[in-house]
Amino acid sequence: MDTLHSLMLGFSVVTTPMNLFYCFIGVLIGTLVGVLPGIGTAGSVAVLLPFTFGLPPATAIILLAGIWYGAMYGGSTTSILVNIPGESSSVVTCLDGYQMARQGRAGRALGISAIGSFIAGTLSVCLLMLVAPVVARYAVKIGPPELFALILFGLTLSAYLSSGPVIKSFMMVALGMILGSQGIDTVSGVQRFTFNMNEFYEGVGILPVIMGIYGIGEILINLEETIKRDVFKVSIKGLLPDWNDWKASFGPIMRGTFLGFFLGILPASGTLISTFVSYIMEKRLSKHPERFGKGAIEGVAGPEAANNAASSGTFVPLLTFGIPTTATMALILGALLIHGITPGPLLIRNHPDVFWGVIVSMYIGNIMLLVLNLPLIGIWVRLLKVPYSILFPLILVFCVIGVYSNQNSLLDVTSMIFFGVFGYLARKTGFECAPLVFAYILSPIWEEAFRQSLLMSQGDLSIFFTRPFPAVFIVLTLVFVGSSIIFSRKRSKFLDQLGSADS
Amino acid sequence: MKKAFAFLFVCFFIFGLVPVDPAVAQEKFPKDPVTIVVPYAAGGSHDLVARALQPQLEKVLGAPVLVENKPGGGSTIACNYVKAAAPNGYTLVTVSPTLSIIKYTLPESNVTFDQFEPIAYVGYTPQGVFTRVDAPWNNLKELLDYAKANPGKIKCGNAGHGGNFHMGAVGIEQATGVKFTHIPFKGAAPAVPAVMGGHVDIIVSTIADTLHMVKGGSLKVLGLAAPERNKFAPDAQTFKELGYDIEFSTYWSYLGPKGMPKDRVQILYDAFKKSTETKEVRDFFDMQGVTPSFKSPEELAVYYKNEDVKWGRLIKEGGLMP
Repeated sequence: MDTLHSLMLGFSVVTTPMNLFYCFIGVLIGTLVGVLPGIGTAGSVAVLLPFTFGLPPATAIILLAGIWYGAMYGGSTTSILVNIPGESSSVVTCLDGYQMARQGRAGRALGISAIGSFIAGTLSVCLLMLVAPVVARYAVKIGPPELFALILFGLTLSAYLSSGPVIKSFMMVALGMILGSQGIDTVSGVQRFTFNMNEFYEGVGILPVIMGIYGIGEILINLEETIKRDVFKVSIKGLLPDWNDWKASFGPIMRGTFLGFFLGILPASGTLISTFVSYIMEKRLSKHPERFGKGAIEGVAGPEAANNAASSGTFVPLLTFGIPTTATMALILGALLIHGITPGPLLIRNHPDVFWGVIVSMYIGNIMLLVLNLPLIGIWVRLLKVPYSILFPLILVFCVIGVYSNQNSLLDVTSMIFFGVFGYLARKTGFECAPLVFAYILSPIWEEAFRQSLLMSQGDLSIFFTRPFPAVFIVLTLVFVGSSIIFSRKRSKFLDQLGSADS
Repeated sequence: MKKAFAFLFVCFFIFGLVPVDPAVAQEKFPKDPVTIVVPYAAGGSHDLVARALQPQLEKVLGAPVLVENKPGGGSTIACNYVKAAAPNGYTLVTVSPTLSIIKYTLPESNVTFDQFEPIAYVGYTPQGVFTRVDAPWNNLKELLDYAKANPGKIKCGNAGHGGNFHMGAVGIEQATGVKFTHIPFKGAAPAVPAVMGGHVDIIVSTIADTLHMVKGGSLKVLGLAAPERNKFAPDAQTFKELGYDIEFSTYWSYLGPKGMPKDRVQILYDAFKKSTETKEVRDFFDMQGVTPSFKSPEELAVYYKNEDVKWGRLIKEGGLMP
């Protein structure tokens, strides 16, 4: 009843023409920011921030939040159409989304990601509203030992990211870990692989790596495949997902929502990791894991739901403790402070109009995004008919501008081209890059968490077993690794028998 | 007819390109956009302060002012970039104590304060010791008494090995004789949930970085490394009150490449001073927990010399040279 009352208050805040207008502007900018590769939410919010100073506080936050969750909708578009993640949180969508597009199912991939995003966006706002205060209190209990165990579990699952041989994906994991260790070490201050270049003190950025591997690499691959151009001319089978697509996607969307929301709350996680975990989980749960990487709709629906839900999840630590977990959240925090609003346990009591106004605006914004994105699908799909000779130079220009504008660094452009060639060679030799990207993102956090834990315990490894949460995850990891060894043996025996029966 | 037209066009074009008389150019500064390079990503405090000053600076200078983020390399990329720029007053950089520290911790970065022309210092925020709300210590004295009785037992989170906050913690150890276990995090943000969740006992941070969390009731401040109490946290004891004369702060200063003409330094300094005194910027500082304080180019040069001596001694004594 109390919540209902508060929601009514929120509705009364949002349903003024001005707030509806700014909500729409926010999600529209967000969609554009998402679609354009390299142009990130943090940069756009930073540019817009000064314009919001003159607005009432609730309106300012409604606008900025719209950009943040709107970008999660748009990010999948270029992933699906041209294999370039529009936002880093849409990397995973490339894996199956792009394959769907190659099979003439671009519309369905775009459709399921818009609808999946809508469901996840709406449900996660419900979660944000209902559980935020309770969950936040437990989220800070996730410290370095817990993170270490969680990521250890995640890394052992990374073999599921590729459909190739396990040994090759572990080699890519190892390479990703080496790449991830580049820069000045947080714990000891030692330089690793910096070659005495200032630009490498913080390692190669994530954006040059993923845009190189996926964007530039894809262009290079396609240059030699001009004949296969027909693939895209296959009639586009249905713009929207049909009943079978729905049946396959419903579970992944629901799981992605809950997973994304809770991972979004964790201090070190953000939106990107949730998409990887969702993808791995869906592949593991699927009865036909071999379809993943070849256009499985579950591989689009789950991660796209997860990144939207995670974007709501990141609001929990911000609103309840004032902890920004991403750069965009730090800017939204700045906007709150400029309006004299202090986020923290007292926020809901002191500024109910802002809190509930923003929550309700997120419901309305999600509906706007759905209405905005569904008609766009037809236009996006038509983009695929643009000849390669025009499309590729355009993509290249967008990649270069996007990567450069992120940090105003020319070395980022060079790195992107390097990773483009790397991605091309990897694909030619049958190595898949998703495990590399996954390890590249996770391993620095993992290593830090491990060493922080040991500093906390004065070098005593028992810290990982005396705390309940890490202990559970370490046991889970052991069980998982053990069971996959046993199962793979059984399976190969089974396949051997099948093979002999056939002959 | 066409030819005559073309000739005229070419004439206009050539005359248009003739440089303006240098004497006139000297009178009018700035006539082009002035760029403030921020060595951090958008959203950090140096970015926000630069963006708050930007519209006021534009009004005073009568020229566009651009804020450009050049993050990465622990602020060395931006510093090296501005160091190499033409010393004409159109390219400035905003820096924090990092500039004084990396000279010792990252000598190969080749960045030192004397490669720059000091222009203005507009405000600072003191470093301090913060802990979770239900921690057993209520003030600095209780914390130090406990730390002295239990050397190495207090886990102190910082924002990265060799960073400002780590150095501040080492400075506290050197002054008071306590011993912390230092736990570095990647940046200031992840250290905060770690102290709230009790994974570390205290963190070293600044008032400006934590003010909203202290006000919002999720952190408490134990003490400040400042000569006097801070208006944003008047109840927090200073180390000086307990007899330890230490002072560590994050500040907002603006520098240009070495060799800028003196008159341009003066024009920019006046503009920064006027802009900082506007109500808009003052309100912004109040919101962010920035204490306004002003240093002229001459004072700033002396200040940087003292900082250099202070950090150099601290880092050498602490055995933190690479």
